[in-house]
Amino acid sequence: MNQPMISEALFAEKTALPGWNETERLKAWEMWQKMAIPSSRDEAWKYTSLSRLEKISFAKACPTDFELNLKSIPLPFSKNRFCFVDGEFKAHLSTPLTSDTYLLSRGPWPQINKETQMPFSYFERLNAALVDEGLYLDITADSVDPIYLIFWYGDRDTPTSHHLRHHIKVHPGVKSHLVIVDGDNNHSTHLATQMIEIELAEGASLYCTHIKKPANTGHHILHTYAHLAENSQLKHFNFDFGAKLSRNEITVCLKGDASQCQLNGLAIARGLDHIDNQTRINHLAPKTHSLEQYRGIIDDKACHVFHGHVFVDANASDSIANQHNKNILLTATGQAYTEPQLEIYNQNVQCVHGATVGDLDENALFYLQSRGLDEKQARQLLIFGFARSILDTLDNPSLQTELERWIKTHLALDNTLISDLYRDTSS
Amino acid sequence: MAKSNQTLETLLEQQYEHGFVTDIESDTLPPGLNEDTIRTISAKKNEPSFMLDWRLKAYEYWRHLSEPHWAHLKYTPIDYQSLSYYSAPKKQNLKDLSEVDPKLIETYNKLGIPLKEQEWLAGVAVDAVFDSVSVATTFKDKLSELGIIFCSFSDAVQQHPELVQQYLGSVVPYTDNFFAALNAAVFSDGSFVYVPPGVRCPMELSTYFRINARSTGQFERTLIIADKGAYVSYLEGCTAPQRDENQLHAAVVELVALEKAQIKYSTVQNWYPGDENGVGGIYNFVTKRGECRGPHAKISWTQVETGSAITWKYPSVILKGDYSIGEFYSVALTNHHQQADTGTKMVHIGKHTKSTVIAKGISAGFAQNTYRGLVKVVAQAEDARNYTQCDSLLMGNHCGAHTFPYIEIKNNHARIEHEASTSKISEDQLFYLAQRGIDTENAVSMIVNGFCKEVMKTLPMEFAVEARKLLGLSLEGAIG
Repeated sequence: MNQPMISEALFAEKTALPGWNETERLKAWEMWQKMAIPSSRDEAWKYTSLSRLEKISFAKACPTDFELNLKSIPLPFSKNRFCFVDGEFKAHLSTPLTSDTYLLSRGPWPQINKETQMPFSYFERLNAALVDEGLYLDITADSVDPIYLIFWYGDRDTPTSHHLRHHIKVHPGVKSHLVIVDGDNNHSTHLATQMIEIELAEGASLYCTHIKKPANTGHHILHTYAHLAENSQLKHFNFDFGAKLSRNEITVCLKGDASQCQLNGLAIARGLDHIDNQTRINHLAPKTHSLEQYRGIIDDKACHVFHGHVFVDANASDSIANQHNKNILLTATGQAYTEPQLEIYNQNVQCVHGATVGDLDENALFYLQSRGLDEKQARQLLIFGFARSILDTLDNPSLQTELERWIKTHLALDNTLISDLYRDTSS
Repeated sequence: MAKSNQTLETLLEQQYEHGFVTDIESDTLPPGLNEDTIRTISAKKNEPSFMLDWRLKAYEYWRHLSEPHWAHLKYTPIDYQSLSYYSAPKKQNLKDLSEVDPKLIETYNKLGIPLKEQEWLAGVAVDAVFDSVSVATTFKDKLSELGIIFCSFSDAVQQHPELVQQYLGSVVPYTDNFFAALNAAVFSDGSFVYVPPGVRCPMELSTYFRINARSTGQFERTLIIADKGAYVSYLEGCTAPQRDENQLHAAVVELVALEKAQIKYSTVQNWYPGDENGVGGIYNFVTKRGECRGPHAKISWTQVETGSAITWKYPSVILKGDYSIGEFYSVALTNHHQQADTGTKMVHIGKHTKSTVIAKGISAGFAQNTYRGLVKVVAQAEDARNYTQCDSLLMGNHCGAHTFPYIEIKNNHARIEHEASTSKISEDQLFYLAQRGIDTENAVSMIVNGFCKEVMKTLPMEFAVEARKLLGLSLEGAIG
């Protein structure tokens, strides 16, 4: 099948990463070529069109002299950080690859248990065939400081594509924090695919925060696949500030007894942004818990898609699943699509889901105005409060403060006003 | 507990009460579907040319479609060429009930719906569809005094072709979906109701459908029009004889509510669900849709689905008129190997439109019960409101309950709420009731009745009794 998006020549130029299995890579390319690009007839891509992306022809990313200045990213970077610019590892911006708490390898990758690998899909195959850089992060001991993974894309005149793939393993009983940042300089058209496999051993726990900086011209396809063993715990936060196309797929397999996951997401879509959040939680063992909360703020002509699927297997008795999606549509031109789905094969479960879409609550606006705020102030306060409820679930105060600032800037909220009002109302 | 389990098993294994075949000579076409079949059906019914043209267009369209498989259903493929597309009892043109085949009357007696009794006691006009042709219509005179037309579809085609031509296919066009196209091509009969402006229909209109002759697909088509300011409540109830072969049923129901009109459509569906091993049972692929064409119109669907091996049914409302209202209340019960994929579609087009969806699914044995619903608000639909609640009750560890809502919003003044829960009957509830001296059987029945109460109370009284009885039969003991 002829796919103009990525040419045969581009694949031919690509060399395998050291230690990667070349046959697998060739197989992935062959399989990808046979696959048709997902269309609106595919249930999973019903509300997200790839027809424009399909027409762009992406070239190989030639090296540029772009130098990333970490200070330009307002985040509380810790001593553990790894930077990738245009899919390439930048050692001088990063901390050493090994420490007493983790071991990072860029290849050769160790043998990975097949079960913990993500299933095939259109973009997974493309990523496997063209992978630029792969990380294997082995977390062996508790760490207080979060590990930062920073992926940045420089400016270019021609559309380029970048493909990253990571496997993160947390050892038994280890507690760890991970912060992933995706961003670009916001001028060039690019396609970035990122596949992240997370493997939590017995009793392990991982806090993972994924932040996607606004990218008006970027196409970001992210798949996260998490595999949880007994008593392990995953808390995953997704802060998406919008892109031309931003697709976040996360699949969590609660494979071990009493494993737990919490998925929280905030999508702020403005301008012509299109954010598509696809979550799937598979309850495969008894006493598994999941809690999911995604919120969307939709402004201008933007669009937010939420598809949440909770699957409870016949042997996953005593499982609890909570799934919520709330959306605020700020303009008459925005669009919200939500599909909170439950598929349940066991009677001993408690599963609840809910979804709402609407403008700001008129009564709340009226109440705030009756207290002396003008309409603009009242709206800002309510919008901020809506976003804040996701931010509040984050366990890292310094990150919380920075993200709060990001949110305010991105939504053009009056910082001092909000801070004053918010302090007043919460005290 | 052992004792109650026994009762439970007996209840669960209860044979289909209404399973029998009445031996009546039928005028049946040989199996197969082609243009000639359609011409024959149309000729047998002496239809005007516009009907034949429409059927042929629908057939041509259907030929190019493939059967949809997106539903959460598994069934053996249907061979459309092995079905017979027309079956009618031979004795026809009856003047009154005494001319009706005594065997037919016997059938109704077995079902507990003697026509005469209903006519006099219940005050319900019954348009009984025995297989595909209406054989008895009652209360027609009383209704015609008010200008209400309530007759079989074939009669309507003969007597009111202008109304049929105007409204047929205007809500569900033959291009709508695979089964609607098939129905449009081969539909044999159904009911037709027209309520003139400002008239409130004084009684509940009711049709009992029965599927009788072997291997005969049933293709009913119902068209109900409520003119400006009119009100009508329509009841549809179904029972079917027991048999081993799967039967296909692809009905189409179209409702049109003009300005300030109200239509209430209630269904109790109890077709043969197949035996406890999942053998046999009716395949029910139905397209039901109502359109609120004028301001302040209201359409309300209530359904109690306990039968059929396969249910594929999404009664929908297109809210075109400003301030129009759509409602959907549903209880879907599946047991043994039954599968149901059912729900609704609410499409908000007019301003200030409102819709309410309450769906209760109960799944026992090896059954799969799916709610699939769409709420769509187009960009110009200012101030649309929707409230959706779907609850599922699971009984046993081999069944499944699924919820697949689709919410598509393009207007920021819309307020859309969706909530759903899935659970089983809790031990605490049973224990509490046991403490009060209520045995498990009654306790379960009580809890389930409470679970479905919101839907049951919207049923007209005549139906509520049957519906409760049906739930009782199929469900009361189903706790493991």
